[in-house]
Amino acid sequence: MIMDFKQVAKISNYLAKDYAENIFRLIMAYQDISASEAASRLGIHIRTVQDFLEAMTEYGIIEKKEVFERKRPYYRYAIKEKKIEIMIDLDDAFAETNNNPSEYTIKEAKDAGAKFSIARNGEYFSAITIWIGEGRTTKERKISLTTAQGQFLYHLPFPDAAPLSIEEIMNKGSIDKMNKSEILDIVDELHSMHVIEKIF
Amino acid sequence: MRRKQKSDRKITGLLPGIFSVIIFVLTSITWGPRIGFFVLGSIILFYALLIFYTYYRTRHTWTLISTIYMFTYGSLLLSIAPHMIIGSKINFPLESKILLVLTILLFWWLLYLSFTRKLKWRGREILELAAYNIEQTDGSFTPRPLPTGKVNISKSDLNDFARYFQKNLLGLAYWEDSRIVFMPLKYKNEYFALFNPNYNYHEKTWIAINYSGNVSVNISKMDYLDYKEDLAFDELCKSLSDVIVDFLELYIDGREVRIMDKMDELRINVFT
Repeated sequence: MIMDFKQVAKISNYLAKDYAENIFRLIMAYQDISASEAASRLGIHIRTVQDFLEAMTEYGIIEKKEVFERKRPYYRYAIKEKKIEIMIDLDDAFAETNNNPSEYTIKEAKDAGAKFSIARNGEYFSAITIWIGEGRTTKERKISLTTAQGQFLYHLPFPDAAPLSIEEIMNKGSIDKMNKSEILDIVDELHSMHVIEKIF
Repeated sequence: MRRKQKSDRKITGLLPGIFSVIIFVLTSITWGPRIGFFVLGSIILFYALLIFYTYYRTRHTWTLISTIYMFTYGSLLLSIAPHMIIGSKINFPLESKILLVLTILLFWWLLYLSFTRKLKWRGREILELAAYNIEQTDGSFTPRPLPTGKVNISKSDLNDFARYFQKNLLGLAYWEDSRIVFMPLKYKNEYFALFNPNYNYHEKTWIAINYSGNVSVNISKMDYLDYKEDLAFDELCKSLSDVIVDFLELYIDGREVRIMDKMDELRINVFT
């Protein structure tokens, strides 16, 4: 089952619980089992077991069946998938970001106050230093740049220049499209630090 | 034509002279005029060495005349120093008289060269030309270079132009691994650029052309603030690049005299 990062984080969180192995042992040993039976067997709160079983059901690892036996209906849970696979396809996860044209143009923000350090060959930036805060609380943050990021920022329009799209700047800097994701990353980071202005 | 740059009122150019006079007066008062002249002569000879270094760096012909002038002037002071005794009649030896004549002749020659702009560093003219058609904005300076385009040029032509750039005091050129950096130098800033071993030209105004022909421009904050108005920075950088590329093309076409004409036509004060 291919998941995204949020799904993986959620299921991993459940599987990391110290009772996870015991619940699966019970489910494998029993044909089916209710949440109250499992809770009483393991000595943990029924709500905890219920949440766990519901989460596993949501991801298709366990299946549940509603039953009616002399009392109000309840669920019995049984194993559905005996192999749990967690898979993330990074190409799929970021393909949209890399292939879609940006919906905004960018340029350097006015009075950004950042210091761009030039690389040894003088044709791209190797680092950017930003000062965050004011007065005595000012902190310096230096970001080392990859060559592609350095070339991209070297061609970033000045504050008074016409803004350009990310693709246009990449073309000017002869930057490979494969590097787009790292370009987007630094653009977002510098935008959050008010060094880059986005125009939608 | 209305100037875009502020007038230059810095006294940096006079500092070596002021320094020498102060030392001369102090040593003369303390130890007498003989020592005063000896010290002043030594200082002038030291300046002659520095000016010779400028010639060595730029190969600017007229700087060699400055060197010779300073050398004869310093030698003159040293030759008359033993005869400078208070209360006695001064009788200069023949070599002092010859040196005096040479010094006076060279002084007038140098004065003529100064007024004909032969000794002038041309950074102010280059930055004035760059700002010629640039409009005022609300301030947009950013301390980073801008890639401005590409020129078709061979490595040997670029090297030749760099030597021409220095030889005519347009500024200093710095040879890097993959490019040559041209730094226009204003009169009175040359001391720092030439004699400070820690001088960081990357933080100054420069135009870099790499061996593939890519042009980048950087304008320092000091030079930007030297303009009377907040000029459109992006346009200013492109314009500075155009000025140098224009000079480069004129040089390659063998019309380098037009480069000097363009700068002379501005009629900027010869001592700025």
